[in-house]
Amino acid sequence: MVIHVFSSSKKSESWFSAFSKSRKNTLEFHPREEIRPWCKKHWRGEIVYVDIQGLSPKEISGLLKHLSSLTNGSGDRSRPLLYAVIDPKSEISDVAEVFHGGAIDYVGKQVVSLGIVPGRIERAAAYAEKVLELRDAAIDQRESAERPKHGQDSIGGIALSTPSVLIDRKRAQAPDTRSYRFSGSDWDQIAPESEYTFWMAYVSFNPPKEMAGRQSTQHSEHLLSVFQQAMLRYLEPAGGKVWMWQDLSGLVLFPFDGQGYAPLLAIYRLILNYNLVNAEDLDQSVPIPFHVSLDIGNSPYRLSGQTGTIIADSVNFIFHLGKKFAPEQGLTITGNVLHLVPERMMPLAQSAGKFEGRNIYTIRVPSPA
Amino acid sequence: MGEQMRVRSKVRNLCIRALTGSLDTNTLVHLIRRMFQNYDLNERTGFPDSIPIPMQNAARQIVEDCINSGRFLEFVALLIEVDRNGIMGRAYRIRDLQDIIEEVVDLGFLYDAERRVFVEDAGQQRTKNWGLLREGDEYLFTFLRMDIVGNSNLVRSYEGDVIAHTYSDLRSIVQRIVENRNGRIWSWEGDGGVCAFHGAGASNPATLCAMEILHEIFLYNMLECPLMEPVMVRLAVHNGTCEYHEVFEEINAEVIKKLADIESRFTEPNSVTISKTAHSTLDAAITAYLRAFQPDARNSLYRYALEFKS
Repeated sequence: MVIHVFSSSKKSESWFSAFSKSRKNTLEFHPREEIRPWCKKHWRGEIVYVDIQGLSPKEISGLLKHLSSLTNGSGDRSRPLLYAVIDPKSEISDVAEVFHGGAIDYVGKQVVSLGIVPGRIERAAAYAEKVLELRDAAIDQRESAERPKHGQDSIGGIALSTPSVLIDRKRAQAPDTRSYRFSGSDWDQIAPESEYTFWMAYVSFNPPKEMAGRQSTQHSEHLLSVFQQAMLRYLEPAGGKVWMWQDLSGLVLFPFDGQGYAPLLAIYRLILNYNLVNAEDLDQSVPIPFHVSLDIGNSPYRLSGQTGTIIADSVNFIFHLGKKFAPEQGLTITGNVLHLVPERMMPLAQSAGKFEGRNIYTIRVPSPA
Repeated sequence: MGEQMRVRSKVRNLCIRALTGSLDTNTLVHLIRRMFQNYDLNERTGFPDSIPIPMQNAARQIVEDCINSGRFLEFVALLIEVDRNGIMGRAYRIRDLQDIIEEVVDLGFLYDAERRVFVEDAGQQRTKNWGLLREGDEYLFTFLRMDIVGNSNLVRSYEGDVIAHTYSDLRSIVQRIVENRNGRIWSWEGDGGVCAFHGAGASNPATLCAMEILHEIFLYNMLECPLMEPVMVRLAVHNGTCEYHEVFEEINAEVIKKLADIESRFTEPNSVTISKTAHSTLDAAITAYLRAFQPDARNSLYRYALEFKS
C-alpha cells in the first residue's frame, strides 16, 4: 500500500513508524503546502493523509472541501480522492463532519500519541471500499429503475402522457386490396396514363395568418421554398415526388408495392424533426407548423404539371382530408395505412373518428418538453 | 510543427512560380512573417546577409518550409488574402492562383471564404482535425458527449453479440448525424463518446446534433432495438478552448472535464443538457426549444427532451 502524508510537522514520520516498518507498505512525506498542486499533477488513486494542525477553522474547511471535490476520472462512478485527516491536537470539535465531507479516517491526539499502526490504515481503506460499493450499488439501483421496458406505457423510451388504447387492426375496416395496382418499389415501372396504387401524402405548410401580414411575399415564398427542400430531403429517399402543389400545400406520391412502410417512416421522421426543420432550415424562433395526411389509393399517373384534368376519388379524398379534417400539425392516416403501421408503432395510433365514411387515425409524435 | 500533408510537386512548382512572378524578396519575407513571426530567410537558405538571395531560392525555401511545418493550406489561404486585399494598401495579383486553388481542391479541401481558411471537403475525406488544426495549438470547440445509461446493467443482461450490435447501431446513428454537420467523433468507448465541433458558431450544429440523436434513438428504440427495453442515453453540450491533440487521451482540458460532469451529474436519461456558455452562443431558433434549470447554486443549465403531449 502506498500512502502519501502531507504535514509541516517534523514529528510526522514518527507517527507512522510502525506502518513504515512493514515491507508491504510505502510511505511518502510531502510538505503540507504542496498538497493541492501534488493532487492535481501526481495523484493516481493513492490514499492521502493530511495534517491540519496550525490551520484556522476556515482554512481546514477550505482544504477538506477541495480534497472532497477531487476525482480520478469523470462520471458518477469516478473514484474520489481517498483522504484522511491527522489532527495531533484534536482541534476539530465535530469529528463526524470530517466523515460527512468524505474523509475515510480521522487520526486524533490519542491515536497520534500511540502511533498509527498498519491495521488502522487497512481498516480505513476497507471502509472506503465499502462506501464506494454502496455508492455503486445505489447507482445500479437507480439505473435499473431508469430502464423502462417496451410497452404501452412508454414508446421508444418516452413515457406516454395518457395510456394508449391499442387499436385492434383485425377489427378495423380492412382495405379493399382487390383494386390495388401495385406500382413497384420505385418509379422505374411507372408510365404516364396508366393507373397505379400509390402512397399519397397531402402535405400542408401552415404559417400563422398574422405572419402573412408581417412578412413580404418574397420572404413567404422563400420560406415555402426552403420548407419544400427540407421536406424532400426526408421524403425523396423513400421514393417521394411532389406531384401537385398549390400555394402552401400539395400532394407527394410514393410508389406502392404492398410491402414495407418506408414512406410512413420518412413522413414520421419529418414531423418528429419539425423543430429541427424550423430551427435549421427555416431559422424560425416561433415554429411554423406543418402536417401530413397519408392514404394509399389509386390514380391514373401523369407527369407533374400535367395533372390538371386527373379525376380520381383517392386524390379528391386526400385533398379533402388534409384541408378539412387534419389538424395543422402532426400526422393523420387512413385505415388503408393503418394496416401497414409496424407493430411496435401501433400504440401511437389513435382513432380520430370518421371522415367521408372512412376511419381516420392520428399517429402520436413526441415534441419538445 | 503540424502534420505534414502530401503536396504534389506540380503544386509546389506552381507556388514557387507564383511567388517569384508576383512579389519581391522583401515583400515575401514580410508576408511569411505573418505565419512565422521570426522567420529568417538568410538562416533558412544558408545565404550570408551580405549576399542578396535569388528570388527562386527564397520562394522555394518558403514553400518547402510551409509544407514541412504542416502549414501549406494556411500559406495558400494567405496568398488568396493577398490577391484579394493586397499588402499594406498595395494591390498584388498572385500569378496562377486559380491553378493553385484547383490543385488544393483536388487534395480534398475547400476554401471557406468567411473564415478565410481551407477546410476538408467532407464529401472526399474526414479527418479528426478537419485537415486544419495543428497538434498542440489551442482552439475554440463545442463538444457533445453521449453516454448510454446503465451500460453495466445492459452488458450483464444481454448476450455480448446483441449488445455489440446495438452499440454499433448507436455509433452509426451518432456518426451520420455528427458528420452531416461537420462534427467529428474524437473518442468512442463502446457505450458512448465525445464529438467535437470546431469554431465560434459550433454550438449551433452541436446542439442540433444532440437533438437529432435523441430523435433518432427514439425511432431506433421504437422500431429496431433488439433489446427487450429501450436504450436510454444522456447527452451534454459544452464549449470552450482546448489544445488539439490527435490522441484524445492527451487532451487534458477543463472543458472536457466540465462536459463529463454536466453529462453524468445533471443530465436525465433521454435528454440533452446544454451548458450556460454553449447556450449563450445559440441562435434564438434553437433556444426556443430549451428549458432552463438550476441543479445547484453554481450551475445554470438548459435541457432538451421529448415528450408525448396528451
